[in-house]
Amino acid sequence: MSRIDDALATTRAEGRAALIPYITAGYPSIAATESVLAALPDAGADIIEVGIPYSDPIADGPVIAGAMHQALEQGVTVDAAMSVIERVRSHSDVPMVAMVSQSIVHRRGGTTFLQNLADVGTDGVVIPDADLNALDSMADTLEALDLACALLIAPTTPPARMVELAQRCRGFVYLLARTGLTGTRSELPDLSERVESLRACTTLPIAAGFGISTAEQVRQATESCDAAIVGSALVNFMGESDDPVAAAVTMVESLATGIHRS
Amino acid sequence: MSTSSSPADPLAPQDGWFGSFGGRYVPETLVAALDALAVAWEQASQDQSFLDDFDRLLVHSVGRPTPISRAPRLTEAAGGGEIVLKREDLAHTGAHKINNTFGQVLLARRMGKHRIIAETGAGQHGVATATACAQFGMTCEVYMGAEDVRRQSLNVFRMRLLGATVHEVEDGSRTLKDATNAAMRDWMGSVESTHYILGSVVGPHPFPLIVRSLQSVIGREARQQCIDQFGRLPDHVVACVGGGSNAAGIFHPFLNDPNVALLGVEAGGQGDKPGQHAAPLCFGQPGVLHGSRSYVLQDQDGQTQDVHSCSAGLDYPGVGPEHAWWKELGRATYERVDDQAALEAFSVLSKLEGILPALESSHAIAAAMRLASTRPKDELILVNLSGRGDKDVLEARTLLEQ
Repeated sequence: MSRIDDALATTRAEGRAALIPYITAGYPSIAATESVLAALPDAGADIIEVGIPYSDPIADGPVIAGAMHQALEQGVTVDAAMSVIERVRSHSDVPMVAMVSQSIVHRRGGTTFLQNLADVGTDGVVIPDADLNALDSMADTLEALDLACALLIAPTTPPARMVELAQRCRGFVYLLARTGLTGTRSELPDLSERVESLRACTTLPIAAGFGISTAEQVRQATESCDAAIVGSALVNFMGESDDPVAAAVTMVESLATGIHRS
Repeated sequence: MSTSSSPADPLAPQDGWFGSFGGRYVPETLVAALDALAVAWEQASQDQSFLDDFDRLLVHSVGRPTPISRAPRLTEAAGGGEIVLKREDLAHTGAHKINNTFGQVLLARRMGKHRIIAETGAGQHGVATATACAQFGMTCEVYMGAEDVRRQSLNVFRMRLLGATVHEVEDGSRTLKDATNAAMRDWMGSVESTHYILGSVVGPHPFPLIVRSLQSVIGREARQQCIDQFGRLPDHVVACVGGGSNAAGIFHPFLNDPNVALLGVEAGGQGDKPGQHAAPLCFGQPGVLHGSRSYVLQDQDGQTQDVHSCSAGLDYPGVGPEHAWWKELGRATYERVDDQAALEAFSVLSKLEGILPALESSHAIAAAMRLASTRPKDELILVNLSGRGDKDVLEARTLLEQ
């Protein structure tokens, strides 16, 4: 059983939802990323999503795209991002999911990239711009490596496609809370109806993300979902602080207070 | 208009794939909209009233057919095969881009979408989009890289005169690539009410197919004009390639004419090293950018590399997937022309034929002269003069004075 399955089974057994903070590898520095990955589990992170910087991320809003550009300008490579994961894995069991653009996956030949991810101790992958044909060609490898792979379900996804996408997910399903980009927004739409129809086609845990930025929004999302993903708000808070590690801890502690408990 | 040719045609795309190129590498939010667009296009392209509306616009608003012109003094200067120009510079707004924007505005209207967004490099696609939107009373917002805003300030003013809002994009390299990211990001949040008019044969399916189909009017006209005026097909067709829409438009109707050689011309910039040029078919490898798999200039991590061209319209690290396929099949060949040769062609065509070509099209002129010099006098070389150069005079003056 993978660390992700474990973590989500544990939170479920504890009668609570999971918190999944997102950080961009190498932002504001590789050292900060390493410290944050080590510190966040105690602050309330159940799983951590690690974004691998890409030059042209089309799903990301200005905060994460900006963080990625800054990391790339500082010379953060894919190998550097992988090395951070590897170093953290050497002393921590925190489940880590890589968020990575198809361009990067494709450049290393798809399955080779997945093998590299597994080798450094990553537990799963989210490829927000994957083509379904590309994903299908990697399905056997994902299974052999026991990597989770969450596909995105959008508000615009029609029911028949929702079934197709849910069937391809491993570990958990990534429910986009809204159309638009990653980023901070004021209002969170009611997700309960979409969650209900998604539950009808999968038994996997459902994690909601995109535009979830406060403890209150974590609470709203986890009333119906099994996990909440918070990215831009955290990345932004880290970027504005002189001490990004302390900032990340403070914010995740605050977000964790929103986690729904039954 | 042919959209999906018969399965027997080995050069027909299948389900959004041009061989192993194309596809749809986009966030899930856009998939439903792309599906809807593909269905709407499939229906529209088989609907005679849509085709008639489009033809009427091409005649009465664009000014088609554009002529082909002999270029005797240019031919003499090159010394060899005869060069003939397809005059897309004479289309309304001064470039071929308008063929696509009128077609897509008609399509958007049919889909009930009244807000239009677009990306632009040189500004020609932005101007053409703003023009079609003005004519149909649609809201138009154009994304343009800040560097291109500087290089093409006249086109920015033109777009604003036409009622469009121009958003300056400050991300990344601040050129066409970043403008395309920004337009896609807008669409991620506005997809239910907005149509995105992509300006080239790039992006996720069905954009490469739609844009190529709408631009194929160039090649259909030119092919018939060669038959009417020269009694035969050309031996070579030459066009510049940034994203590749003018080239795809003129090449496509000649695909099944095996004796017509197709030559695409990429921007050679200032040299062959990464960052000095914008020639993915010459120097890149297959990769994923802006929603499709094609040749891309990228580093070993899959990060898009910086590109350079004196021409904003060619300053793009990717290229349409159908060109990648034609390259792989050997149906078309692709070479490059550097900044200096393009600037020389810009001056030469102006002096010898009284035609100021766009800097983009100047790359094709330079390549055609180079080709002509190696061919006998009885060979016919058709060049797509994709746009006029009025927009480039300020930039050209700066470059020529250096």
